[in-house]
Amino acid sequence: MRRQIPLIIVFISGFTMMLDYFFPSLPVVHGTRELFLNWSRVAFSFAMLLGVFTLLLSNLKKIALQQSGWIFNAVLILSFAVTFFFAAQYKMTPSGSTWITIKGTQVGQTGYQIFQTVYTPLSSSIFALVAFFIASAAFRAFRAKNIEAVLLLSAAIVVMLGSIPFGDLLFNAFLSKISSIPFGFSLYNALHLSQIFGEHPVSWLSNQIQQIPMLAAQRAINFGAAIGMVFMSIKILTGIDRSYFGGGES
Amino acid sequence: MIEKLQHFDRRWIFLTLFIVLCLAVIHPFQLPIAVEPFVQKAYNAIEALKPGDQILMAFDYGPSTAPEVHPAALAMLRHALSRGAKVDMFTLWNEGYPYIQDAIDKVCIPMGKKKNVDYVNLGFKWGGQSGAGVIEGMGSNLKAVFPVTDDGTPYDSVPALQGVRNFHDFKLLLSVSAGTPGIDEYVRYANARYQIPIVSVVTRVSAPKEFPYVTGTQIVGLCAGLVGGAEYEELMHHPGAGTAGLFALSVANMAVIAFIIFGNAIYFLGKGTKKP
Repeated sequence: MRRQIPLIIVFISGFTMMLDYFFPSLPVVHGTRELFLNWSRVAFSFAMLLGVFTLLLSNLKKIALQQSGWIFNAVLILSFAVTFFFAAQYKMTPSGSTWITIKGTQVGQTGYQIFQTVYTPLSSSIFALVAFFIASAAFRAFRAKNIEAVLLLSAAIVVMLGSIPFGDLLFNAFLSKISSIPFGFSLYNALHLSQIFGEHPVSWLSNQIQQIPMLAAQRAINFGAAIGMVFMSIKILTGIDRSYFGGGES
Repeated sequence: MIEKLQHFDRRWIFLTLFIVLCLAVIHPFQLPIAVEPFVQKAYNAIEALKPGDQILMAFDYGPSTAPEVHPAALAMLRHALSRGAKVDMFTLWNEGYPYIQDAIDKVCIPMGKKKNVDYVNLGFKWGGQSGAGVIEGMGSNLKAVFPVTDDGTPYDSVPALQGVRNFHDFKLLLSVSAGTPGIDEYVRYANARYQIPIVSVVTRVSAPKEFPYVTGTQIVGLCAGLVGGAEYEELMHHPGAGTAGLFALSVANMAVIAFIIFGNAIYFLGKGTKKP
């Protein structure tokens, strides 16, 4: 029964949502769907609480056993406790909600300040490090070793240049330079390239790369993923795939 | 010499990028901004709003991606409010919540807009990894999902929400997102079922994933990353954080291109000097 009941819940709720999608005017189905949606939101809120509880429990266990790196678990618990304490200083009144004030200071605001002054810079800094690793990888790994790599490299450079104003500025500066070279600029004009590219030739080329070959590939990927998702959903709804129970059962 | 360069310490690359970015931030230059067609489409969709039109605005991002998408979010909010639209803001990310407050402080209040009359802060609602329960719920009954606003005002007491029941009462959904739940979920659950037009702001790296939707009918306009934000600010004639950051971003891009060229030059020179 431990397995059957969740399967029955998944089957009924999943097919109710599907039925309502195709027959939205059926009142019984629509009402049941609304009920399931309300339940799902309540369940998600409890799942979040459960997640917090599990996080605290597993970290406290590591601290109690003084496992390697337990100091980091202690930092997590301390950060959680401090942030939670300040952010929870919030009271509801009939006219709305407000921060709790202690000795003229809105202590709940401290939770917001912790987010703004500690979490935001830390999170931004970690993400900003990616730029440095990209630069390093660009130098070491992005090599024109074969024809495929040359194509990839050329497309990447055009798209990177096309994404910033420098691309068009550089190309237009180059055009004005070659206008002094015999045949250079006349060839550009003779081929009517200025009429095709307009004032922003690199952006134009970058857009062409992104909106023709790349878009076609992206559509194919999306389509394949969507078909996969449909079949996966059917497998879950009919109980063929039970991996979401955990324990690797399928 | 070539051999030495092949084993170039990558800390020099980090240092070069750091110096270049610092100089770009300290001494920014105004660059000419060419507006991409997708950004123009986003602008046109908001420009078409009439006074009193309701729009939903989702702030689904956190501090790591805010420098990329927040400028466009502010520019679009400013545009929508200047058209007289009523903007109902919410987030499915707990990290997104402070950015709603930031947008209110930087755009709504300076524009003299009234809380719960011209704009509403519906706050954060957790909808799981996919956000399906919340998005689907908003589609059929907004009040059931947000019975009170962020400040605890009951839904029925909010003047801006009078007569608003579900997605059908909104002219537009402005999704500013940097992950899941985000634009893909709105396309899947909000547009596919309720046909609500979506204008989207995403990070530059995830923009190609959305191109099939913009060239289709699901997304009516797209702003990609900081460049998209700068382009939107250009259309608004109101330079902000997007325009300010564009020079640093351009310089960083150029530095990466320079490193690619430098790396390849060393690679080919090294090949030529290899002993048989």
